[in-house]
Amino acid sequence: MLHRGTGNLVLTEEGIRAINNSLGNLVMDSGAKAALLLDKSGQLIAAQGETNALDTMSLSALITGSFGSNKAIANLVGETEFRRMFQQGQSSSIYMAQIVTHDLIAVIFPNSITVGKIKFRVDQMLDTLNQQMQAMYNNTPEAPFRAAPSAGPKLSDLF
Amino acid sequence: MALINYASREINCKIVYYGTGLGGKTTNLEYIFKQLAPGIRGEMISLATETERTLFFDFLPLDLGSVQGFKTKFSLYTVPGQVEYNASRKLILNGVDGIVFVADSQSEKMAENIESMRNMEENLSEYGLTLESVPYVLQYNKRDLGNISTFEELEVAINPRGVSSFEAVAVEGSGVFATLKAVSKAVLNRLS
Ligand SMILES: Nc1nc2c(ncn2[C@@H]2O[C@H](COP(=O)(O)OP(=O)(O)OP(=O)(O)O)[C@@H](O)[C@H]2O)c(=O)[nH]1
Ligand SMILES: [Mg+2]
Repeated sequence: MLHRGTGNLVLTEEGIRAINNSLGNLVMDSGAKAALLLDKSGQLIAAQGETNALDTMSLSALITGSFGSNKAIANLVGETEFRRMFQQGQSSSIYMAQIVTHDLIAVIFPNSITVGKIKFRVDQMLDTLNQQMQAMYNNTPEAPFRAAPSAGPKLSDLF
Repeated sequence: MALINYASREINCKIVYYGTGLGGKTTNLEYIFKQLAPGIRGEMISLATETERTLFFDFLPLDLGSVQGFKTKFSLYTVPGQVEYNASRKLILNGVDGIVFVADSQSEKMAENIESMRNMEENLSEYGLTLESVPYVLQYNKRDLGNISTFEELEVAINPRGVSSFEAVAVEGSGVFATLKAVSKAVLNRLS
């Protein structure tokens, strides 16, 4: 299993553009409402489609959590993990898949589109997304903030 | 690990409230939720049992605004303190940037606090993390009760590294923001 330790995940403009491009194509080609890429700690990396009406932060935390608890279920039935998940609603559904870096893609789609079509499109995209995320993990992290003394005082007005 | 997005100039950090069952972790988040304006905090999600015990986690997103040109967001999580929910505790620690360890000050809870701290170190080690590598602060909660250990006793028992520690009465909100501020500072300083 890949562990990130304390290293930060640095998303470069170029890297994010590539990922947004992949997610955008996925939404266009499949007719899905939205596609999200989440990192394994539960944070949103990128989203494309009709995301304005979505609480993407909460979605990210909950989808990552449910993937985690399903991994525990997998272990109980003799699997190491479930790489795909599907949740079916009345009018829309969610299809989720894990990439090699353990990050997750979640696609929200209307039930007028079959899950088979979504699954096919997502699976086609997984290698590309995986390469794009691998590249991101290989970035050398650079400190976003100047030295500590200047960060200190600013923080006292945060709350 | 923080998520640093140079495209949107955003930073996302994950802060986890850890500690023994019924210690007051959820109460901390509830108070923060109540006190902050809706623009600063998002909705709080609690995956709890019918008796209000945390089953999987609580989640509260905070938007700290701009820190040195980066839109800075924190995701606050609590773990379930009950001993049998260790699998969930381990999951929530994945990618953690900072920890608030909430201890229950009641004398009879001392052994539980120590065990919870040990359990936390063990779960961190699964991700290759230690208490040296992850910034953390301590909160000694329930200071309003009668049968409590002294501040010094708690320091000796669970603060051998001498990190920042705060007395709190989370139900009334006292000490809650002092604790949050300290962990925020420690996490952001780590990024510079
Ligand atoms: N007297 C007193 N009670 C408190 C204080 N903080 C929390 N409580 C109470 O302690 C009980 C447990 O608090 P929670 O916040 O649910 O505890 P928790 O750590 O989230 O517990 P788990 O979810 O089981 O891990 C509740 O009834 C709270 O009202 C405090 O400072 N003083
Ligand atoms: Mg709780």
